[in-house]
Amino acid sequence: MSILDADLIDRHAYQDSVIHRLDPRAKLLATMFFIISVVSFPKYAVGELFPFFLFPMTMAIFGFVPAKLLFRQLALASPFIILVGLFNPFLDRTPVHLNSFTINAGWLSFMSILLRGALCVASAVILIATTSFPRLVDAMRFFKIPSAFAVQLMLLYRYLFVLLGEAQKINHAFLLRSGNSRPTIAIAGSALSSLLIRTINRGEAIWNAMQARGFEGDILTSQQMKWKAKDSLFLCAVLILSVLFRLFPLNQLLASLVRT
Amino acid sequence: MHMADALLSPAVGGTFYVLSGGSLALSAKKFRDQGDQSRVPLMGVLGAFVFAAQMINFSIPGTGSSGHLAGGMLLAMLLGPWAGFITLASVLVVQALFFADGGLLALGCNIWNMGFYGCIIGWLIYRAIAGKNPTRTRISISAMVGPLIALELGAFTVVLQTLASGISELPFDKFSGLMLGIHFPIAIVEGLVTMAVVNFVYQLKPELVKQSLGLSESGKEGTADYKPVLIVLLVLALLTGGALSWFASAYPDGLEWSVSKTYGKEELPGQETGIYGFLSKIQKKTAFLPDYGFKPSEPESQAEAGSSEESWPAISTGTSVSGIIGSILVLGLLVISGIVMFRLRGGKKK
Amino acid sequence: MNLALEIADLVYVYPDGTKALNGFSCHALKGECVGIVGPSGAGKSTIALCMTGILLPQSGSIKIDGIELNKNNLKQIRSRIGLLFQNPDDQLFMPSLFDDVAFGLVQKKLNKDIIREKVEKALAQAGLAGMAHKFPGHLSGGQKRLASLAGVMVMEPEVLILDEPSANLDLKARRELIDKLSQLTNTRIILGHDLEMILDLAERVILLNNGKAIAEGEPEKILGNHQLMEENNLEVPHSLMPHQDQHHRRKYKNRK
Repeated sequence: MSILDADLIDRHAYQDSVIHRLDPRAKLLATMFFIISVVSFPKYAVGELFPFFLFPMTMAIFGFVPAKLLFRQLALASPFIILVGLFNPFLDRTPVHLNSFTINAGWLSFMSILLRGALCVASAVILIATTSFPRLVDAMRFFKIPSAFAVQLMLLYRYLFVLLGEAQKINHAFLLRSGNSRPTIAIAGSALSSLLIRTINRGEAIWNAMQARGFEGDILTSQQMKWKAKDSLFLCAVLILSVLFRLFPLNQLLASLVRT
Repeated sequence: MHMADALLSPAVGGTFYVLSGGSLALSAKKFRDQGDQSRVPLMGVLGAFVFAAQMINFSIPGTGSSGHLAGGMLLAMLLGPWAGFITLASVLVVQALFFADGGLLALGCNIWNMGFYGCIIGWLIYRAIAGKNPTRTRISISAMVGPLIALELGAFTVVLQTLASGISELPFDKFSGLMLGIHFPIAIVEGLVTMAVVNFVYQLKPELVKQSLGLSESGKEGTADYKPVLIVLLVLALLTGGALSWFASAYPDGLEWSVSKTYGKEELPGQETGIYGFLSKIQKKTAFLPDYGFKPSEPESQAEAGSSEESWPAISTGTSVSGIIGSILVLGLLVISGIVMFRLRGGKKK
Repeated sequence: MNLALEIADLVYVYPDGTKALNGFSCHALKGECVGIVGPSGAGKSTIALCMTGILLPQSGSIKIDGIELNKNNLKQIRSRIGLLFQNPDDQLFMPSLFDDVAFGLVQKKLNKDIIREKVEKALAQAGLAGMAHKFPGHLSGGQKRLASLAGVMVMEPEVLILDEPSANLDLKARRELIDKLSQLTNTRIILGHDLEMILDLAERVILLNNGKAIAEGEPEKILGNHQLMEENNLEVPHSLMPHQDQHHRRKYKNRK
């Protein structure tokens, strides 16, 4: 299932939309700044996090990111977070009074964890669903990641789905001959070994292909990134709103408006 | 286990970004320096192989649960420390983006936990055991020992990172006991699979497995004897894995036991010293962001159940009725803007 | 100099001891299309790798466009010879079609505008215009094959070696490829098992087995020689069978 989703995300990244056309550097910066703002909240922040949903929501809607896909990715990321966070209500029993009843402060921090999780995972998925991986690597190159790393990211991406396809074939082959169980370690080791040898051979073939075309050293891509006014606008909007929402909790402001 | 953004604080995330970033830059430089570009495509496809390997879930005998290869030690043994580290780091980037495994901020932590321990320390172990004489036995032993140490170190660091971030409430001893305990069988399985696979490669392409050992800095690296370090690390790993697992299970009412503790960092053992103290200092320094009154609880307030207004002004502000109403209003606004945006967007473009 | 390619007594032994080429000789005139056929393991892929200097033979000589290949002039040789690998996935390693086709030109450090011009022309000739920014992994098998051809052709090689070019292609893509190859004016060496394709394109055929050239001559004469083909674990291609003799079909369909 996650292979299918990864493939869906990848294909979606090559679609066209307002969001897709934004400069990848702007999107990368915006996403990182967003995540940092979200996690910079103290542990009990719950309502204060709500306004932050505006960012993934806007990006997803204008980027045509399928909602079901987004939720499946959220579900995928949840188990560890939930497992760790679930202890909070039991470990932190500081009483918090809400007019008529009392709850453990741990419930607040647990909810905060869930909200952070949703916001951070969503923004990452949306980033890669609206920015093709090669373009994202271009953005990273701009921010000076070592070029050996950029080349590695590119080659990994190029052969990722090829290898995943092979793994699927292995799984299917085993499934068809075994009924419905999973392989033992010995069998898995054997299948992996043969896949590994084929993979190493493939690596050699690629190297031969590179040599045959006169490979000299670096692998550069041609796509130019052109920063436009809309990219500045987008980035500023995200930065300013993130700071505002972080410093001035919207729920308080609205509440005081309602009161008066 | 991958660290998640939700449990992380900017300070801890940032710190490990620096550590991992530095390691990556160093690895890239070392890789470039030794000049052999022929491994570039191999690194790419081996990175993809790690994903493929993770898709092949096998059942762990006796537990009924499934496991898969993490791959750090394998990469180290086939590629050497620098190329291996670069490859594993790239795998983690793709995992974070395409598979929602680990977050973007947590990437720094994960690259350190899995890349540094898995590939660099892992390779050191490989070299220590098999460096002078890579026989099949020694290769097998390395394949077993490497993941054991690397995974336990990684698991322990996750605990430290979580603690230093202060978002989760899990207390140090129970959490470490759990993490170290869980990763012990995982490491054994990883070791077995790595051993099987590397041995297979050794039969067909021995140069590959031996070549990764031949890499050292331009002759400057001494022929230091790593054995004592190794033995100590191994003993530590076994002790922590075994003993703390026992500890965790010896406390059936462990959760009750931790109720009496407050969540404040001030109460946790060993927090003033070492890496943990360093991190919490950074944490405090960067907590200058005006958080409109939120303060970590004072230990005494635990008992003041009734006088919450004074000792918990921040919490009560955030959770008072008006705060809740405000939050609901925000949600309402979000829904409305969502609908408006849908209308604005129109149909799907191609 | 009319000889584009001249190979004399090539011997290549793999590190594990397998003697893949055992005194192989052949030649090709400029613009000629030569087919090299033989059973699996005969040494066809080894020839391709030797000709591009990826494998250096233990003895024998290879001359491309009059230049003798040795480990010092590989760059020169590789600018004159293009190799289409058996598996396009091994060859299309860049993240976009444009980048992949441009690869060789970028390595030569040509001017960006010149590169753009040449790449777009090559893609158009391959029938892939407008797909410059596609990710190779998203292409069909036939498209990948044509893309890798474009990437090699853009270098304007004197000699083009094609290693099993029609493997895994559906019939339409195969026909398209054959059409494209027939229009090229470069010296073409086709290695493979697709005997019908070789019949369509080659002016001369060399039969290779056990690392040596067993026979050489007109395609119809070589491939139509029953005894020769059988001896070398091959079969006479269908189109060379007399129409009356339907032994292929009879063999499979008349079992009761």
